[in-house]
Amino acid sequence: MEISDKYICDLLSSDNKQGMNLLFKKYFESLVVWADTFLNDMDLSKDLVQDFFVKIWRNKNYRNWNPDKLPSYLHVSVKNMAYSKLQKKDILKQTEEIDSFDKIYEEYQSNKEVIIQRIHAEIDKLPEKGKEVVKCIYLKGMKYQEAADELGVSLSTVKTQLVRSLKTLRTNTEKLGDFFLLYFFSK
Amino acid sequence: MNITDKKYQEIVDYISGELTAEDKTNFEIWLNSSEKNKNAYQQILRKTLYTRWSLKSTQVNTELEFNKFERRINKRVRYLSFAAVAASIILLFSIALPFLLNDGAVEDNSIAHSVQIEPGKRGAELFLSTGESIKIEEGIKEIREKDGSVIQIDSLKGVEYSAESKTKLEEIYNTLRVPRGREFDILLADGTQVWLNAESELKYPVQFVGGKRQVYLKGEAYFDVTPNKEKAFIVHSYDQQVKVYGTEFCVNSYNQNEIKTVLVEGSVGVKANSKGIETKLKPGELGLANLVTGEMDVKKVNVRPYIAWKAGDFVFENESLENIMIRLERWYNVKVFFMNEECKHFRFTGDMERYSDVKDLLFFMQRTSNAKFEINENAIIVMAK
Repeated sequence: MEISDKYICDLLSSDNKQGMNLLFKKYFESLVVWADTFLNDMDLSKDLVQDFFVKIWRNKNYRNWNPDKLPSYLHVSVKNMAYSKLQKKDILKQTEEIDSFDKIYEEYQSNKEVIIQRIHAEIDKLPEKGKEVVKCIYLKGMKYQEAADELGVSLSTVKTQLVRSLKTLRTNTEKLGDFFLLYFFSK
Repeated sequence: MNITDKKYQEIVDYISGELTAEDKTNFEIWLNSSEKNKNAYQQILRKTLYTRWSLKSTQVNTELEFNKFERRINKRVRYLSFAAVAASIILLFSIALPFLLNDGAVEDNSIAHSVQIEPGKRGAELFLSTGESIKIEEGIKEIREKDGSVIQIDSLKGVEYSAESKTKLEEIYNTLRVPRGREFDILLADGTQVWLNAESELKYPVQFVGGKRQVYLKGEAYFDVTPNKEKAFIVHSYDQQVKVYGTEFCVNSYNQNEIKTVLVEGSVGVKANSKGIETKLKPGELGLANLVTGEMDVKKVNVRPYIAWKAGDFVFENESLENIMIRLERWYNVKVFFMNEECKHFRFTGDMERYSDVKDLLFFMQRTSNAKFEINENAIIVMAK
């Protein structure tokens, strides 16, 4: 069962440590992958989110939290922290469309379990080669050339395999889209 | 989505940051030229981000990170006391003196060296029945043993065996070896969970086929055994046998001459060697096995110092510096040299995080005893002040 943000904020408003535990368990993982979107470094991202939670607890920042704004507060804070850590290192930072990330992340956060489960099931169905390329790029965060070296294939193979894999995933993500519509309208 | 294959590729490359500056500018012009283009881009972006986040989320072990968080916010009293058993008045003098002179701070310079000694981390090597070995460092893997059992290898979550095999039942063995400076855990086919400390090895059947569940341990492990009245669970360490009736306990066989078994919960029977008599342990008891005579020595203990490693802590209670340094050698994968034999007998009581910098502990021991520490490359040198 998903713990509601309201419950977490209620506990925290009275300095109840249990609220902090629930907050950590609910958000830690997705905030780490969110920070990693900008930093492309999982260890650094874990440290960053750890620091963030420690700061929240020590400074008692949580006292007047509005449960409706909690997810966006958390993800905007982590994004800002990640930005200030960036030293021209990331690729995504240079894209103009960075704001569309926020919306996509909110969708992800609120349907995390379903999305993760589906994506993993879909990736499992990919042919071996495509699976390897997808993992190099999206799991290990490699550049195309690094992936090509790692797998002992040409750069253009990496490119075509990546696109082919994403296209295969596409139909399914579109189905996932339908699912979202259904999900949102049913509420 | 009506876009060409070429455009699709370009969008993916753009998201991956693989376009040249010029291509990127052109792409952004295309992107901003219509809503339709933006939508196409957004769809692919969503897909790549979902994929990336879903894959990377498996690299986060929330339990482990939560423990880390807990340790950071709970500033426990780390060091309880220092008991100088072997040392006498002279030692007490030398402890008092630096404090009286208020120059204790000068001393830490001798420890601090630029070399970083890293605490241990997760990792192991798995040996299959074919003799093939797999290094477990990062990522997730799934393999199949020749009896059809599925083995899930996850560097964060541990090794896990499927409860059933597909083909005919035969007892084949795997071995999990954890080197110095590593720790790992494993879920056996019967649901029993085993945590292995550094420099330890466990041999076990892939499926428990026979009338007994038998495993073989070298080094130190913590067991949480799934109860099964029909099939006794037996841990062999060298000649010692621990017979289990569904329970939690820790076996330490680093020193073959004195194998320690500590019972946390339930009931176990220990035999020091195959001819020995079975001695039952109660929770909170420590069994010391003498492999030569077959005798068992049982005493009541505080179990925490024996099992704290599993929870990520280093706890010692009136323990000799010699033993403490042996444990540090295993966990931090360092070599320890004693310049003066007498230092080996200094005794300490303390409690610290296993993942913290070794210098913290050395500094504490240096401040409170007559021992002095120096870090040199990958070695710690212990000497008298």
